[in-house]
Amino acid sequence: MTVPVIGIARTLNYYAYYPFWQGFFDSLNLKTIVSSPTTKEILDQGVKDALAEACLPIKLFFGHIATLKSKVDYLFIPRIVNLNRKTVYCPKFLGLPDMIKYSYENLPPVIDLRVDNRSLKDSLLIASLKLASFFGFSKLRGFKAYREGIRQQNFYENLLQKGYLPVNEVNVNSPKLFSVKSSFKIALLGYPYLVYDNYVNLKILEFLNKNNVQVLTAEQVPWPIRNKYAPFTNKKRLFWTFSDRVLSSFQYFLKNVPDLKGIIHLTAFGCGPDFIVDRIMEIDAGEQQIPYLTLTIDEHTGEAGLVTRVEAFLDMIKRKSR
Amino acid sequence: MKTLRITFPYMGNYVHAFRGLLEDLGYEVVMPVKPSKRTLDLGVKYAPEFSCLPYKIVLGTYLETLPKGVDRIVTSGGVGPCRAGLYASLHEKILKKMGYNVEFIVLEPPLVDLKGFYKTVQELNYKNYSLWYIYKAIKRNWRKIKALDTIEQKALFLRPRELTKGSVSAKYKEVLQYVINAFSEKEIAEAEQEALKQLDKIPVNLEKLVVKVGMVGEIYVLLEPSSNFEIEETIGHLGAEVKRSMFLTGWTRDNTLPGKSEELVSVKAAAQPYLPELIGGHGQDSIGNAILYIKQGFDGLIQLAPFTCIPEIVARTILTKISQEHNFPILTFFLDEQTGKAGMETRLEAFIDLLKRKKLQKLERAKGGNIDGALSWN
Repeated sequence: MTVPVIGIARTLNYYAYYPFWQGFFDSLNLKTIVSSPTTKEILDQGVKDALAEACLPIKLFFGHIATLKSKVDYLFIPRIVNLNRKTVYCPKFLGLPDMIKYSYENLPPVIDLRVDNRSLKDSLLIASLKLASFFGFSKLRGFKAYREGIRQQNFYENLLQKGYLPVNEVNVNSPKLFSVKSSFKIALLGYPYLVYDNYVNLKILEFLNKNNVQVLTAEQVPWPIRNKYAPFTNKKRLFWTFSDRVLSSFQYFLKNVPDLKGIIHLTAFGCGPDFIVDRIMEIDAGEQQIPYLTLTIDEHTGEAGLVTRVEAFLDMIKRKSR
Repeated sequence: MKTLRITFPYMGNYVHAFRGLLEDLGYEVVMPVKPSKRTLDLGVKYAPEFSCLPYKIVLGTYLETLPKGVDRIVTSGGVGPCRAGLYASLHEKILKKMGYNVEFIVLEPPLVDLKGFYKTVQELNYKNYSLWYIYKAIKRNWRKIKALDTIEQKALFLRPRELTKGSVSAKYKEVLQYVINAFSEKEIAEAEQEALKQLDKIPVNLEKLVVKVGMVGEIYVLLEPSSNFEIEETIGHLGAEVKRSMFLTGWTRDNTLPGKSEELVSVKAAAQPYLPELIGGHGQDSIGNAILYIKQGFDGLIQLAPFTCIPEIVARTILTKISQEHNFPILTFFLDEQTGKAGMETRLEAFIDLLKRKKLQKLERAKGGNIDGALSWN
């Protein structure tokens, strides 16, 4: 019997949760394929296939699925609604499997397990057991695979807190790039699928690292701390997990990193929640007199233009601190 | 005690009921003006670029009313995942930054946090009226909202059938005042009856063949005519009847009282095969209502959404498939500050023409080819 091949898109949740899936599927000896790192072709395909009004990341996701769909037996698009019992994922993430199903013909079966820890505390475990039994494995094997996934995920999150930058590839076994340590600290805030995707971020992450700038990312702040720093005006917190992650780590950095030199917010064109995140950070950073730069990435952004802006931003900071 | 001055966002005819309620609570109401080009321009100037049209209009409305002297703003909150639940917080932040010191009172849905809701109501009730008094005030103004909805629905039905173009709109504007000026429940009921009676006097052709168009989408652009360029009026004048999926009466009931209406249950059930997840805003409702309209034999559907509205983008992606599967024309407008009324009208005209042709063909086929001369659009 041939082993079924499961396709995973190298974008959106990939940069946040891939180690869990990898640990899980590897433990069951199931074969997974991750789409190649984002290229112009992938993005162009996504722009063609997705709704014109959709945001850049959704277009990217469509592009990745388009390259995967003919190569795999199953598409893995779990519907992750809530994991931390506090925040949900962006509505577009919640509708991902449906959008894909109703946009492409001749798709391989889509695995769209729902994970919502608000209604059911162990819904990730239950979804894992379901998935394992779908592929003909016992509950025990499923549980072991789940444990392995959790182990890998915890290991990954630890690495991130130590400054691991999973550029284009999440690899917990041989992590390549770490954030340099220096007194020149810049917070590069944005969603993991923007910050760590080298095509989307136009290599500014690597650029900063090469220029001896210590990059602080949202993922470097552990969840218990972030949870504490999450509420803003009116004691409300942002509803969406990744937005909440960006804003809470921002509030943490602002209060706890005295030599923070500047903040760069990386955002995607058409992103729904980001205008709220961006304006709050802009106002708060302004009040603390910390230089703040918003970089909006769209289908047409060119690397040269962006790097020039980042260079100018760094120069301005250096002049200011002299 | 000093009488506080209060204002709120503009939303259709409902502002008159809000005003009534707040005056009952002892406020001096600073009425928001109907959003205009100037309102939107102000909103666009101070709002973040990618905020949606409702956000900009509401901010613009605040900026128009605040210089008149306002102590408090009362508005709705929400728990998401739609962005609108956070708008009040961000509006407050932006207005503070601009130097306006105004207190926000945000009403969160009582179903989520009853205690919090009670606390907010008590905060709003700064003159310490009894709960019984408040209950009566709410009941009275709720009746007003219901009357406003009934009259509007009547106008939507009559408009495509009027003999003189514009006669319904003119009369509608006039009879609305009856209800707006009524105070007690009895007066409101009488005003409602009188308004309906007056509307019924307009000469109409009830035999006329009219295409029926469902309308779904995001709540603010559905309910505030100035944000959608009076689309319902335009469609009515093009000879089509509009059925809007949302009225404030239905929405409030489903979001504030325990137990869901039958209507809502069936909308969710209809959406289930296509979008099983509640994605916030009204994305799932848009899908569910589309399916219900198809079942009820509507001729087409219009979806209204602000640009960058997340739930409606998900809905639109799925609606494309529904449109193909059921051979059901769907037209979507993503509205932003660049949308122009003329362009919208042209698209609507073409869309309604298409629906009419389609309906005629269907009727011809049903009659076995020849269609008698009595059947006409005029």
